Amino acid sequence: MKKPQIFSKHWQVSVLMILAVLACISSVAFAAETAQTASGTAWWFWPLCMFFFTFTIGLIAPVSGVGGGVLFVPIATAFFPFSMDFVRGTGLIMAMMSAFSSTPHLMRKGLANLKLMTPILIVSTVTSILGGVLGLWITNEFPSGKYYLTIALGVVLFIIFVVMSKAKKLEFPEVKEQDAISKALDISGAWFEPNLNKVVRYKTTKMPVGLVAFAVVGLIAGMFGLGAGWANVPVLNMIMGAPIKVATSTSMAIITVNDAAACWIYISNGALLPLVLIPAVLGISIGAKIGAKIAEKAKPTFVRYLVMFILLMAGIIDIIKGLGGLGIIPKII
Amino acid sequence: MANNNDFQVDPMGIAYAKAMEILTYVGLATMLIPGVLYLFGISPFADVHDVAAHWGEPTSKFWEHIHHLEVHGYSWFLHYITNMDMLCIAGVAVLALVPLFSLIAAAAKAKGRYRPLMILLILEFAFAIVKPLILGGGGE
Repeated sequence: MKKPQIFSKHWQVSVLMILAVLACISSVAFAAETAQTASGTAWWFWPLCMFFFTFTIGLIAPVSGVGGGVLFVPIATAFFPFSMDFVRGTGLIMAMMSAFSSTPHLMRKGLANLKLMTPILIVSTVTSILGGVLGLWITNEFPSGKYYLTIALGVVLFIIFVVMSKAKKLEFPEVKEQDAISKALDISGAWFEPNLNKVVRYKTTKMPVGLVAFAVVGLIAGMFGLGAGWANVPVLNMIMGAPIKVATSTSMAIITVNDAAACWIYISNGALLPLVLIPAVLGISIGAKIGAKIAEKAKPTFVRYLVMFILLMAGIIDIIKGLGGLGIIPKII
Repeated sequence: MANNNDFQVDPMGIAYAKAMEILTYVGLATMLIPGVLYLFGISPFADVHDVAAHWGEPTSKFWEHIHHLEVHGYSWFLHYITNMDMLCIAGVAVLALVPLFSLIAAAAKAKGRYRPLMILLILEFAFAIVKPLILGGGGE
């Protein structure tokens, strides 16, 4: 007879993740104490915090299905002392790195579709470049520009929260008829689905609507240094009819090009700081390796809700911070 | 029963994947190795204490305070590439080139309507790289 399990795998994973987060917080608190007693403000304190912070994001991101950049930028903007320019630059590199590491595998499996992403990229690359230019121009040209941008980021986080809570995942959407562009470009594909033990074939539709949506998403992603998976996936899946696995994989492949194009704006503006970038990249890389293993074993729904809660809180904090900076409300953060 | 052999992955996608995989390793090494050496105080351009004192400022002001550096285009870090922190930023530039070379690899395998579309995409990406040199960075 099978021995009854007192705690399910989901509970075990949840407890493990909570312990990991607590360990990170304690380490940071310890580091803070050491740093303050040593010299008041040790230069390595915030980079060390950044490492533990991104390590925690790396653990959470693969389990929750949210890209690291979306969690990183709002929280780092709210709690870290770095300029928003450096935070966005680092966020963009982090989103780019995770997309680079997963896209080759997904393309070989047939899950990420280059035919599908080509027309989308032609539009969204232009808007993501514009977004990068616009974001840096606002913070550098207007004395209070960074506060307006912080408020806008808070609003974007609310939108992400709504999209995440409302978006449905259509595993195999039915596409009865393709639009003219999709038909002309023969946008279709196939992959071997191990759960069904068969090859799944699909085609997509509504390319014109998709192109408009991706133009807007590209602009927002470039402006705030966010990966755009939160928006790419619902557009590909719910509007264009790509199966959910194809939508998530193709979204990752789209991010490789969009973020790299926007990255040049940040490089040319000096919006990259190795002191912030290196701990962030190392932290998320190590955390994501462990997080990916946890994600393979369980999909705790609570982590997704936790992430949504964090995004909502970060959104509120960013708006309060922005309004406080503009003097509209008393400065409390 | 259906199996893996029933479909063929698009050759454009395979070419894109191969190029991306190899070049990402090169970019990562170029970014991380000098970056870690910089954190250990080896050959820095910007002193870590100076950086920590000004990292809350917008980029233009930050670099002005660090060695009075004017940031335009890419010469600001290429000029000091022997320093580990600047070499690390050059590594980021190598990483940001990965999709361009991957798209070129895919374009070589593209057929029909996809060939001009891929070329258009490559040109757009190339424009993103040279834009700061032609029009100035960040709209300044």
